Amino acid sequence: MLPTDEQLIAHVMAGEPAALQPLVERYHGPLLGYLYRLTSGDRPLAEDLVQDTFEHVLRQDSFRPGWRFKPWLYAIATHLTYDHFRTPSARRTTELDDRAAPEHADDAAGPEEQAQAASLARQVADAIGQLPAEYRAALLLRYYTGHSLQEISAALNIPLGTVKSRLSVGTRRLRQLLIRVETETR
Amino acid sequence: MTPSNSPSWPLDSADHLAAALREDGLSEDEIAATAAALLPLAHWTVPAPTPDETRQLVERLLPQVPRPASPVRGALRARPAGLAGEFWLVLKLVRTQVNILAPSFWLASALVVALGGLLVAAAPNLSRSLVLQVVGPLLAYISTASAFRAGGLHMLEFELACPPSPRQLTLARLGLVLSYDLGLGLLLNLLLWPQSGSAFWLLTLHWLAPLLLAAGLTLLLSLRLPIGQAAALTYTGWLVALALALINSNGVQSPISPIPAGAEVALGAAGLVLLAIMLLALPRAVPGMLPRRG
Repeated sequence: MLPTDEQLIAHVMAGEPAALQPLVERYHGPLLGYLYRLTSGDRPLAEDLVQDTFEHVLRQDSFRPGWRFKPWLYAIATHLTYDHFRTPSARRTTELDDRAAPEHADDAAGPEEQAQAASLARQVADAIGQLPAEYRAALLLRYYTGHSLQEISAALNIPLGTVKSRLSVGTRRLRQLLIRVETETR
Repeated sequence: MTPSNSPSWPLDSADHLAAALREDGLSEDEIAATAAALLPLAHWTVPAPTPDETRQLVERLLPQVPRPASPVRGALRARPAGLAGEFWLVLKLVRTQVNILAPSFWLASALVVALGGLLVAAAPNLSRSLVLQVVGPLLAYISTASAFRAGGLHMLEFELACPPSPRQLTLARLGLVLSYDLGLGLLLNLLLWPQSGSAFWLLTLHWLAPLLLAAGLTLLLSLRLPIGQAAALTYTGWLVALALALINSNGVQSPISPIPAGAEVALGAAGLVLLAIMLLALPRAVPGMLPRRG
């Protein structure tokens, strides 16, 4: 049976480097995806934040038995991203238009379909990028990384009721934004 | 980077998305409307890291893996969080502190109590309360001078390098030595009680109050003075105060305590207050206890 995340991080913190690789392999992709979307598609920044998150995990040494690793990891990642965007230099460089085009799903499709998919991906990225940070994080955690409501509550350090309201309000705003973005791009 | 990831749960299918929204507490009507809004999210996929990129990340992180932890660090990590965890930690610390106390401490304290008992047996007319008032602070003297001598042994730097804070260590040691003194004091109480004619609680007060006062004053003074000097100063001061109280009372053979019970209660309470002040002041005072260069 595979060791749990909590067992792996306990081994890492006890000074066993061998436990680090499976843990990073498990979370590198999902965490990069989350941060890529949280930073509105800034891949170099997302990669930096992934490394910062893992470094923070190792340096902080604050994980305690009884905690769930996944929400704790995403809590660190989210806070580091918020901290990054709080710096004045970061605010100047976060315009979505400066970014590379977002990735899209169907690379095996024809050029026309690819263009259409890319356009859809751009609309979604634009709409999500326009959401306030707190709604964006809740929606990304719920619908892209498959966190449970309890896990989001722990990761964002907010009550369960607030998670539900952020998802509800965030979804409603996202729907409005998607309609507006779609209209603008026509 | 590989080109992209496929969407994962719940965006990988309309059914999964509906199930997630159902979990979120939405009604069927709301699910239909919300799923339609959320399904386009599946179009925005993300770059997946290649195995090579993951390997490089692991290599960059490896130097930062903590070094193999000490048993103490391991014990700390094993404790549950919160107040229960703090209590558990102090209990574990108490257990570790048993080993650092030299056998002479356990023997000397027991010997003091035995001598107190013998003294009363050899001189039946001697005031029981006086014996207890001399023995109680003497136990505190031995305890504080034995358990808090890290500075004198040049071990303070090592103690400060350990994960438990100075306050946690002090609490653990204080708990240990005071519990031992309490046990010995109660034993002496039991020996003297049948012949004393006093209430058990009053006999207890005779030694416990000055013991707490001496422990509190010694440890508070030890923030400024070496522990040996602080303990000697406190005990000498107590003996002088006791002698003055004796002069004003009915002498060493009187069954009446030279210090009234009310005053003893106040002295015991003052001792507890001094201990609390010492524990609060300890973190700020510790840097001043470290050896100075040059």
